[in-house]
Amino acid sequence: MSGCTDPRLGELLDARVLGACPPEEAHTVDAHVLNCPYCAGRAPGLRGARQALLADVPLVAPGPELRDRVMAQVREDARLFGELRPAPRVAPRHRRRLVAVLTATGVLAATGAIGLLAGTALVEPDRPQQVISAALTPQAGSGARARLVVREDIGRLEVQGMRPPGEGRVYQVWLLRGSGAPRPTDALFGVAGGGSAVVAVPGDLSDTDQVLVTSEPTGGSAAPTRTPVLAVRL
Amino acid sequence: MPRSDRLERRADEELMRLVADANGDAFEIVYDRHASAAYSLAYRVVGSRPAADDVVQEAFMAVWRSAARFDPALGSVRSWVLSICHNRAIDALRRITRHAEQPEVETVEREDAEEVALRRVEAADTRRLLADLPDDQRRVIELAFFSGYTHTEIAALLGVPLGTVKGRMRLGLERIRRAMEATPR
Repeated sequence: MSGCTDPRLGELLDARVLGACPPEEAHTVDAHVLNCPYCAGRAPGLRGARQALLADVPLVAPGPELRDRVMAQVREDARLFGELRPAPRVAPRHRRRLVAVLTATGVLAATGAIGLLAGTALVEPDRPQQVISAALTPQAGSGARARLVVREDIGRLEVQGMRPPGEGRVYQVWLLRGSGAPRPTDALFGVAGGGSAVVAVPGDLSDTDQVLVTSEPTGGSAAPTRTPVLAVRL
Repeated sequence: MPRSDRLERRADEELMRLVADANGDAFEIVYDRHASAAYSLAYRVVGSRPAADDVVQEAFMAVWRSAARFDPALGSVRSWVLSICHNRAIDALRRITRHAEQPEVETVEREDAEEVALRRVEAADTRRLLADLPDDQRRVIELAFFSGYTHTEIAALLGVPLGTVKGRMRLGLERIRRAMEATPR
């Protein structure tokens, strides 16, 4: 596993491709691939092997009644959501949700989607997935972009062009619910070349309204010591 | 559902754009092109026609409803459909397994559980891509990919260290990858 930035995660790559990792572990491995050139280099070959396995089964033909069932359900689905007519199509890379604006720091610019996953995805995504653009303050860097990818209530924060947190400091992820105080997480990160980072957001996001990032002293803090540089509204 | 002959000649990726626009005719063609492959995969995992029927129906409804999420940069329509089907099949298999784990059957010995799992695996015709793998590599890949076990569960099932399971997975996938590169398909 020479060349892998985190062999503990790199050695789970094959299990991940085979679907043999629990969801949170799979998410962590996915985030690792985006940050590790060695594992990212392995991804296309592993994806090819997985696709070969998907097709490597004896042929068993479905019955005609299954086709009738599927088509009937599609027709019913279409009827419930309007007749079968062209609907506005949203390209996957540009799908957005509402973006939070931090009133404490004024109006912030929403950022676009980041194509960090192109070519390195291990498994074709099919589960319902939300890609939410983040709002960033000028302190994050003039060219900073970020997004939160949420699948099955597990999140992955992806940033690019972000300014380093500062000498003796790290970025820390917080979870906010309603009017409560931000809850600290142990997701602490710096940024690599180009100001990029991919961070698994700990915990279940189903009861979270916002994900925040602040710059904190090394080791993190129990409560934010600075105003957030990044916010994502769920 | 009548459909235009012109649609029949369109490539999968183009059809998916139409399906994303709620074009039922385009969806019908996508179904006809990929249903057999999807059904074969579903049947391989769940082992029965009624369960495979449900899996494939659920998978193609996911294709219909999430067509806009298909990204050609990540693979073909066929691989996307099969991946959806595989996920649904594994979910179904785990539901079936959980339902079967009633108190009255919890006394099954670990060796028996392994035998049951492997019997399901070996009952299918595995004389294909996996056939060239050494038994230990093929076994862990089949337990993971077609039976839905996690690496930890496989280690416990086989009574081997977790590192051994991960190593066998790596070696097996590497052999498959090299075989794919060596043989045009």
